[in-house]
Amino acid sequence: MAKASSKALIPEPGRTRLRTITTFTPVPEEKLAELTERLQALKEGTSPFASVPGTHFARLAVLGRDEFKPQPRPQGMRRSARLLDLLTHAGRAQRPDPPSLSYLLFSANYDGAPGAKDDNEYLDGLRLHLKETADHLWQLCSDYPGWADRDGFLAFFADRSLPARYLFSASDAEPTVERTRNALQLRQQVIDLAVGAEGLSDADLVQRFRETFGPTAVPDTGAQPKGAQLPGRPTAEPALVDPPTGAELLAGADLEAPTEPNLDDVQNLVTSGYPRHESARHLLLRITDPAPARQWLARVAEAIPTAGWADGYVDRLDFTSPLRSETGAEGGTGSPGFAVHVALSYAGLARLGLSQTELLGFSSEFRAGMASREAGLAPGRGTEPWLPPFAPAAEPAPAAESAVDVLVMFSAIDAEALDNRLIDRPELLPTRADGVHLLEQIEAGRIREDRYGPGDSVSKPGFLEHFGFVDGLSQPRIHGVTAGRRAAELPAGEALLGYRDVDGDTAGAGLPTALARNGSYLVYRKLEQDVPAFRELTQELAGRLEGKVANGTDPEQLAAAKLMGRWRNGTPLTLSSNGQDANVPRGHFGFQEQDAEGHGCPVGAHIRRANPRDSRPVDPNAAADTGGEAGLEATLALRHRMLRRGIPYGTPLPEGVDDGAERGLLFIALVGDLRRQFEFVQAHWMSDGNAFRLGTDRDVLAGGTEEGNKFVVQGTPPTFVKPTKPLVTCRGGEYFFLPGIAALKRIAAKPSGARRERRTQAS
Amino acid sequence: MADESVNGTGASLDTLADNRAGRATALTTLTPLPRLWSGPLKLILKIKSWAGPDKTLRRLSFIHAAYWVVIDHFPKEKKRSRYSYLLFISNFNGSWFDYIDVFSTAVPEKMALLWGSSYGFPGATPPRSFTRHIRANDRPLEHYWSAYPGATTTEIASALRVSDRFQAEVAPIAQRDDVEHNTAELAKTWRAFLIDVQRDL
Repeated sequence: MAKASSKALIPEPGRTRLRTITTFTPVPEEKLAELTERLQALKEGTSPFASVPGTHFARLAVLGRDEFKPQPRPQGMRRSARLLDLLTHAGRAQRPDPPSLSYLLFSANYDGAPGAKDDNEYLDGLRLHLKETADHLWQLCSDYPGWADRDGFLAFFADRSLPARYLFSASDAEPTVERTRNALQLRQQVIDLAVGAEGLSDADLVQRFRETFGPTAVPDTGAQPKGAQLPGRPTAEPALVDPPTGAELLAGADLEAPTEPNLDDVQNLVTSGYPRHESARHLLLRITDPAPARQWLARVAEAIPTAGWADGYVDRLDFTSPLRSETGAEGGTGSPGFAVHVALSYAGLARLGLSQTELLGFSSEFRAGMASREAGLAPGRGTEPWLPPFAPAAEPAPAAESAVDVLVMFSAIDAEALDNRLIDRPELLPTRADGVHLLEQIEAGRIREDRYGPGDSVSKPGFLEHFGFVDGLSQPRIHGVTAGRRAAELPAGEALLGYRDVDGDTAGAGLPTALARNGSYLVYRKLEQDVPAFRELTQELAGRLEGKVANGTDPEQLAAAKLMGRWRNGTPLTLSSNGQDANVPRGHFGFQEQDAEGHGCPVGAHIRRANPRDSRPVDPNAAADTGGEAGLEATLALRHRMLRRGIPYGTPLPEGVDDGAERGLLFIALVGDLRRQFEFVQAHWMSDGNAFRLGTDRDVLAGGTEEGNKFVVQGTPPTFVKPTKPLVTCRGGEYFFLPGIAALKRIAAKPSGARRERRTQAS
Repeated sequence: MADESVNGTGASLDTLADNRAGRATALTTLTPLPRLWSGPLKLILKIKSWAGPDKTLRRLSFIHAAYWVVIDHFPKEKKRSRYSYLLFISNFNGSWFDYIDVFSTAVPEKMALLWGSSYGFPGATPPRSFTRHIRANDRPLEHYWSAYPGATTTEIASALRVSDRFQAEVAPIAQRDDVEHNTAELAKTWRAFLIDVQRDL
């Protein structure tokens, strides 16, 4: 609530309001360095503000007068923004305006005492609890009187504080620090008991209850909530790089980006997942000599099927396509029986001699490489489980040092055809003479177990992954790129650079047009799947679900389906909660609309996290949450969709066996914006539960497993289970650029002499 | 090479380490605007204050507390500054990028209303230019502290609901004197309580 409006209210007795204090205390120029050092040293220990009761948040920042630099003129503004600029600034740029003083900024949010008119009560608390520490923080500021002088101390801050004009808080409840902490602790105790007491008798349950909450069931007060000691997540933020100038760069938002992709220039992998290709071979390469490597790339570029050529032949992602039922053998309908696709990492592009302008146009996460992003994508694990060739050196290496330069993806209708085609076309397989070093070769293939019986059409469109589920469902429909009837259509920029994206921006803006257009960012992750661990967790959950399952439903199938959100044949739980029904009409469905409480598809199930559709994070019934447009969540969810082109590797594991062999999924996603599409989903929806009102719970499949992770099957009653080991472990990955055909040929052509020489030396 | 700038070795995707306390992230921007617009901006903030918190932002549930300060005169400053300044201070959970990105997507016109008079404002959409602008203005902090670093806004709302229901439903039964005799009732109450609060666990 706003401070101003709270004045109009009669405060309830004993009721506090969230208040703020903001002070700018001048610091003499010569003391700035010492002050900065002193404040930064606070990181080493407990924050002094921990001892000041009622403090929710506190921050200190040193603002040197020389930091007041004029704002740069924004580039590429939309017409409305330019009009606003004209109105407010008469189109003029800002002139320098440094103050004559430097400041220490202090800001805190605190529990205001009932009826308090100023910050004095809080400041006095600050003074009394910090004592000499307050002097340590502020004594370098001009005219600071010291904590012992009460009146001087209060006046010092009152003279240097500024009023908040508008305060936004999370809820009207505005709970105090103490109440918040107690509630968090109680919630954790409830979770621990709920997970631990699953299936216990009344007597045992009550005993556990007493052990948790004490004989009188009054929760502890005042203690730090569990999780409060979470260490900060240290990070080094890549500084912004201004877009390079002087080249033909992709237009900004205001200049019309094309919306109709030129499929003749697009690698066919973007438009097709090659559902007929049973076998694939991926080569991970390091470039050792750029000149011959470019010649080899030029040869491969000629062999890459384009989406335009395949258009009309290749199976689209439309389950009902008549083409799907045709015999798609080589030479049959014209569907490519063999395909090769090539993608390059940032390191690879640098080694091949791209210019600075070209390299700098790539997004910062692409330039950083996946290894340096992994700690954020899989918090707590990072690249620790990674294996060669992806595993980075002990110190995360700069992007240019990362291991894999080139990804080559061969695929064919079966293993024999793949071998034969590669024998027929040896020029496609790189050798040492081609200036590349083969780091790893991964054999992959579809799992086509017909476990749902003949005549069941449901299992045919997708393919199985190692946990036994049909995969590759619910792909986004992208304008001019992929078909499909059910999903809302997204603009081409969601999969292809150089086109208008869902934000109305141009995907890949800042990159030279000739390099970027018709290319995609390709996310490559080798995900090892622990099938015995999945079966173990499924059995445990099945045991816990027993007695809560409708007649005729197999508890183990149900348990697996609850984790995934779909039955193994792909039927969504939301549409068919008691069994996999091939006849369930699988049109559009909404989680919030049809399954808000998760009694069908659990709120934390994999597919609900990966594509939450219309799910809302907050209580749908609370009056406070009814603001905003009705479809807000669904609209926002559309910004995080991606085309997936994954394929399993390793052999399927028969039931009841543990062979210790490695198997998993080569996860491949094609996007126009790595951060908004892939990284967002991985970091926020898979590796965290907050967006779904699930606390810190991660996805049991793709979010890794951490101490404290749990899975809740909502229902009457709910069922709780704790995974004990990770079911899926990332063994490495990289961000690649899947260029358009013309761009690939351009990359394969000779760079300018000077540049080539420099690059050659560097590599 | 641009590698110095992209050699991100940290644990989080896009937050300055100094501006983070557990799951809480701080944002601090100080942007200049023509003095002429200080009055209208204060009026806008007053109206927003009077109208109550933004419902869309509450629904999206990621801001603990945020506030705006208009500075016409820095404390103890002798000379009159050429411009007024808008100080924005926010405490939110989740990643920095997520936060600004959603601002731009969900409430672009409100962002334009608040920051439109500030120099350097590129427009609230598309999100990429807006996030770039805010990031360039986000002040690194010397110190940041949260009283509940492990919790997000959503989690706190959940915890308060769980706590209220616990006190209302479970505590009265558990606190009764006939401890020996109420086992069945307490177990039944606990199970009913779990059904009630399952979406907040």
